[in-house]
Amino acid sequence: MSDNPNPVIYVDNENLNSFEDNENPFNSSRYSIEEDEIDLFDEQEIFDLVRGITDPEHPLTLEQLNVVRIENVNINLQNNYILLYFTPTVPHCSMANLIGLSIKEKLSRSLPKRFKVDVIVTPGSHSSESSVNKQLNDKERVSAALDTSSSILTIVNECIKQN
Amino acid sequence: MSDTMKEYSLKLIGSMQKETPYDKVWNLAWHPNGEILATCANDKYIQIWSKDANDKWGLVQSLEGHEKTVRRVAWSPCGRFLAGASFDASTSIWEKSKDELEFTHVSSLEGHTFEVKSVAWDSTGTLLATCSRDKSIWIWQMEDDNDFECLSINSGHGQDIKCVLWHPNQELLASSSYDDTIKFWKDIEGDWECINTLAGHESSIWDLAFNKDGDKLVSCGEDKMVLFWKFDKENEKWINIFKFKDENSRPIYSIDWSHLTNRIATGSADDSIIIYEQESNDTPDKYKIVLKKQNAHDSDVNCTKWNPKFKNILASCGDDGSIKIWELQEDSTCS
Repeated sequence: MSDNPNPVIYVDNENLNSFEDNENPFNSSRYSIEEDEIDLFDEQEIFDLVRGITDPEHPLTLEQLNVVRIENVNINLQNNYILLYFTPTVPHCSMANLIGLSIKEKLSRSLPKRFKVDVIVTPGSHSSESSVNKQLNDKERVSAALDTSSSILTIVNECIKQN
Repeated sequence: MSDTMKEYSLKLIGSMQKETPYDKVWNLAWHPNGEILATCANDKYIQIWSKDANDKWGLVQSLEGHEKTVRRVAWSPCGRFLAGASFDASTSIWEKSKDELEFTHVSSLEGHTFEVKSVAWDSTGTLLATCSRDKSIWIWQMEDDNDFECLSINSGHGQDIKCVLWHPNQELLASSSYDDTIKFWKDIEGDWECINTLAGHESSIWDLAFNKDGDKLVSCGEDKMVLFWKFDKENEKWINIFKFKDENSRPIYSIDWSHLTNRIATGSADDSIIIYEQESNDTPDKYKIVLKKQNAHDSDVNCTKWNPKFKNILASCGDDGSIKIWELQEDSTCS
């Protein structure tokens, strides 16, 4: 059973469609494939990368569920460091690890490798905040969870697949 | 009279690159002869590297067999066998042919229910320890005809076990875990038991290393700390004697203690390598930083290992898909 069968939806679909039509970040020339080309990211671009990730339980995006918010994206360009807080829809959300993993994997696939990324739960928003954070930032566990033919990888791929 | 100031530098003397950029090279191990390197990566391969006739490092053989990431590799003390621990829950054993650099698969150790995170041979080369996310440590004995028998399955850690390491000359095993503790295990009248638990780290402990005599141990972790432990003979337990905190801005994934120079090298997710040594001859329990090499790799440094035969030679590997050989140079200058 779903942890939160009737989540509050924060962004209507009309707005979302207009975003996807006009500002698809993957079509944007601001996203460079070249590793050595330094291009400057801002909070909006990081947010654009993760806003369309879908919840593992609902056909809704993390933006619609208010799990990710632009004000919770922090960038330190000098240190190539990104810190992103995400807010599970309910404090006992059992999907928090999967959501965090999807955000992390999406950023890791999209950003140049020079970036160090931390994805953590917004303080006070989850009942087992420290254990979710510890697992999410354990590089070895994350790699194992997303290794070849893992079932978690299949779910994560589904969540970060953007239409 | 003039003071002699020692200045150190880490000079890159060899570099190898995986074919796919940004393949994670997780771990490496020097062959006991100091002339061969084994590495393992998320591409499921164990790879063997050595120097060619022109002194250039290159790939010799890729050992295929694992179905997932190979997390750690370890040579037997005699250098005849190589073990690889994999996320596919198995540990593979490879045998090197006598005169050539050719390896054949001789055994596969099955039993763990989740990823195997670490593997280590004891100093005699007859015992092998493996540990896993299944929270257990298995101790295997090598029989004749390359058969391995499981002697003991040890539980005690509350979580994922990250590293196992044998004492350099005793039948004593150290392990470190996601539960933030280090444990020591010993065979007591036929049963392997946990004889000491060390608390002090504030998060997962990624790696361990003994000094040459085995009376000291260093550990490093997710908490960005390096802790020094010493065996207190009177009370027969390990005690924390020294600590470095926040010298790195990200977790420290590897630590190695040179048995030739007594220096310690760490590799961190902040891409740097740090070298430590004893502060002075009169202060056996105090340590200092000799050198910090920023941007040693273009991404996380996953492993740092001192060469066992040639002084001050260090190998490192990382998430940038590269394997690097360094020489720590001591330039004595008079001021």
